Amino acid sequence: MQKKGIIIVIASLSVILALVVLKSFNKDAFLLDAKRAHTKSLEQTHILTLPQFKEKLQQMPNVTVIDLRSTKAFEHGHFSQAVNIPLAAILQYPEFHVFKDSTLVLVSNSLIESTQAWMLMTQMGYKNLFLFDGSLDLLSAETLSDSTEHIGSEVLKYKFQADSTINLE
Amino acid sequence: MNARVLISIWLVGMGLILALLPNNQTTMGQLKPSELVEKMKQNDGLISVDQLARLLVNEDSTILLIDLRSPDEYKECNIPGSVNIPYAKLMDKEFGGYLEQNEMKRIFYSNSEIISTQAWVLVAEMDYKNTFILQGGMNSWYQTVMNGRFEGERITARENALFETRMKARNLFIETNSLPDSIRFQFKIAKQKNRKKLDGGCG
Repeated sequence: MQKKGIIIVIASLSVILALVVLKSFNKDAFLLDAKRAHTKSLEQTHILTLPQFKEKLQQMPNVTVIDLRSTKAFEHGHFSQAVNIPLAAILQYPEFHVFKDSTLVLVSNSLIESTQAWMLMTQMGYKNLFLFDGSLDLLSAETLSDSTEHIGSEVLKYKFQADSTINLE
Repeated sequence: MNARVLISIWLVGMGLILALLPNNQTTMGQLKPSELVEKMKQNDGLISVDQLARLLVNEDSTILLIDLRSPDEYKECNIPGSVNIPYAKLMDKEFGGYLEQNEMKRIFYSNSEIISTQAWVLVAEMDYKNTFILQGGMNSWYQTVMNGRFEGERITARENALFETRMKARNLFIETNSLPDSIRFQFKIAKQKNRKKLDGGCG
C-alpha cells in the first residue's frame, strides 16, 4: 500500500518535471519583451563605428563576426573566421546556441538588416551583441587601415540653410 | 494517512498548474521569433526618399510621418508634415495613438536607418501593419532630394519628372523650415487638436 503511494508521487513529479523541461526548450519564444528590448536599445552601446569595429576585430579569437549577407556574397569575400548566417535563415542555423556566450558582431550590406537581426537576437537573450554601423560593400582594405575618426551614421551630416527671403504675407 | 494523501494530491495539482502556466517571458499579443523573421523576410517595409518626396508633393493624406530624432534636431529641420516622437519616448502612453492603428501608413525616419529600424521591429512585433522605414533616413534625404542635381547630356521624360518632384519637395522643405519657430509650433498644436477631435468622433 505504502509502496503504491510512493510510486504515484514519483510518477506525478516526473510528469511535472517533463512538462517544465519541454517548455524551457521551446526555442520559438522571446526572452525579452518589446519594452525591455526598447530600453536595451536606448543604451546605444551596441552600435560600433569603424574604429570601434576594428578594435573588436583585434580581439579576434574571442569575438565572432556574423555575416548576414547571402551565401553568394559571403563566398565572394569575407572576414577571416566570419560565420555566414543569412537573416532569412537565422532561426534554422543548427548551431546557433553555440554563440550564446561569446561576443558577436553583426555585419551586413544593409544597416536595416543588421539592426533587425540585433533586435531579434537581443530579445532571444543574446547579451554581448554588437552591430557594425556601416556597409560591407563600402568597406575595403584601405578604409579598414585608415585610422581617421569616423562618425556614426545616426549623425546628420548636413546643416539646414534657412531661406531668409521667405516672409509672411 | 488521509491528510497526507490530501496534501500530496494538492501539491501535485499545484505543480501541474505551475508547469502548465504560459511562460510569462513576453507580453500577450506579441509575435514569436519565427513570425517576426517571416515579416522581416517580406522586406516590404521600405520606402525610398524619392517615393516620400512624391507622396509629399502629391499631398498624400494617408501617411503619418514620424520623426524619431531628439526634439532639438526636429526643431532644427524636419520633413514637412512629420510629428516628433523621440525614440526614447516611443513606448510612452502619450504616443500610443500614433502606433496602435493600422489605417495610416506609418513612416519612421531618423538620421540613418538604425533608430528607425529598431522602431519598426518594435511596432512590427506588436503585429501592427503598414509600417515603413525611410531608407537612408535624413542623411539620404539631404543627399538625394536637397542636393541631388542632374548630371548628364540628355534628360529622359522619366528623369525629368523625378527631378521636378525633387525640386518641389526641396522647396517645400526649405519654406516650411524657414518659418519662424512660433508659427511652426502653432501649426503643430492646431494639428494635434484636430487629431484629437477626429479620434473622439470615431471612437
